[in-house]
Amino acid sequence: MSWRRITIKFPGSCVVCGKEVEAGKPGLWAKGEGVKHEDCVTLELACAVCGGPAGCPTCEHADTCDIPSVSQACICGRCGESPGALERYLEAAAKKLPAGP
Amino acid sequence: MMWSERHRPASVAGMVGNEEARAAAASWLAKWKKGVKPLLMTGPPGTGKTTTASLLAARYGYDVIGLNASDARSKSRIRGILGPVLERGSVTGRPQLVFVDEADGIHGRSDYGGAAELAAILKEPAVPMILAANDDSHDRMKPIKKACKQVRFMRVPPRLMRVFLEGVLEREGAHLGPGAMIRVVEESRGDMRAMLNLAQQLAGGTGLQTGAPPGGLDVGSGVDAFFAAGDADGARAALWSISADPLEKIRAFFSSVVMSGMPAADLADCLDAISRADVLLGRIRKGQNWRLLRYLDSELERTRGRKVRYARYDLPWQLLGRIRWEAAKHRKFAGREAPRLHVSRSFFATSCLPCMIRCTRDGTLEPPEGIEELMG
Repeated sequence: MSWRRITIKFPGSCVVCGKEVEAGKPGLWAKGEGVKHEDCVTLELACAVCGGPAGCPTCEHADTCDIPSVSQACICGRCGESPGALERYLEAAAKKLPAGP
Repeated sequence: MMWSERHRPASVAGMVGNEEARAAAASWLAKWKKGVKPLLMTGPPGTGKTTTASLLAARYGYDVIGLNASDARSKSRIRGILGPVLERGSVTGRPQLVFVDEADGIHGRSDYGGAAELAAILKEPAVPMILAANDDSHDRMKPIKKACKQVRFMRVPPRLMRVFLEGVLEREGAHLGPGAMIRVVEESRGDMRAMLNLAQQLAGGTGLQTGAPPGGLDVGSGVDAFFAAGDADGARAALWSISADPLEKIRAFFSSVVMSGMPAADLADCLDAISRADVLLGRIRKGQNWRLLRYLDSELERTRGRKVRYARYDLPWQLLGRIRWEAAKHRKFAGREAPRLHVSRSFFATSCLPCMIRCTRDGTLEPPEGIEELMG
């Protein structure tokens, strides 16, 4: 379930640091997961190909990419620069789909 | 052909971004049976909602019955289109899936009663139903969200978009420099369709070198590029690249067409197309249905294929001066006579003054002071 940036309606405990998340303040919520502070967000996407970190802190688009608002799998620099990067990504992403009829 | 059409994914597995959302939607349709909640896909434009719905329908053997923003989606129309499907489960013999695009746009006069009818249908759908919306925050989306399973589509990460774009450029045999690539990806803001359109424009993929700056073409250059385009795709790309207010775009086309000196039949066709675009823009503004703006260019495309250069509609200064002088006389006369008839100056000028002049000429009315100057 994707985390959504919302204005917290009810006070709760952050699933990352355990401290209180105040009502009326911005935070992140996911159904079935709980709430967390914006500052507690792990600011790094996963690489859909190798499964490792996508390298967001050093990404060439770090200044313009709003990590909480993009789909949560990207491609790391090494996988992205390697030959056949797109095909490897598509193959990895297709594994998540249920089998067709 | 537009790159956004040529490189449209042929399968759900061929799409980029929103891997979990696509998987959730596929799982929903694979396991669908009567009584399962409809699926609501929400997210920004260009993130794959409509493409996912149509590809999943094809993957699982469904025919799609669609309703989108360009249809009137009133209560009677929704019943008329969906009624047979919902009663019988199919109208073609194959299983059918209902897809309502831009569900957050069902409102306004032409969609009267549509939102309530849709919310009623969503409670017990007899066939798989998928809805797509850009924005789910409005109050009118509450009953729809309550009745549906929601899947969120998000902007595609920039680096992933770049990897896809590199693949497209390789297949097209086109090239963009590193700076241009980054600019295309970042200006698209996670919208795959916008990225491909902008890349096609910058790479000159249609054979039309617009030389457009990243912000688009000014209206004059855009109009010239449109009429100089060798094919429909180039014309479309030029139209899309004009960065101007829609009304300014329509006015530019109007003045250029009027000043072109084209034959009367062509002029009539062009003015009809521009008029339809203007009417559409008026309706968009009145109903605030800005999603329909994409169809404005379709109307303007009908003017293609004529020899036109951009021109502003400027009258000769002698004629302009005379018009201004005449207008001043009319205003002065109307300012004096309109209060006597208890009508506005505008009504007087358009409805009363012509009658007054006619009656004066016929001798059936004693000439009011100053009317002789207006009678030429």
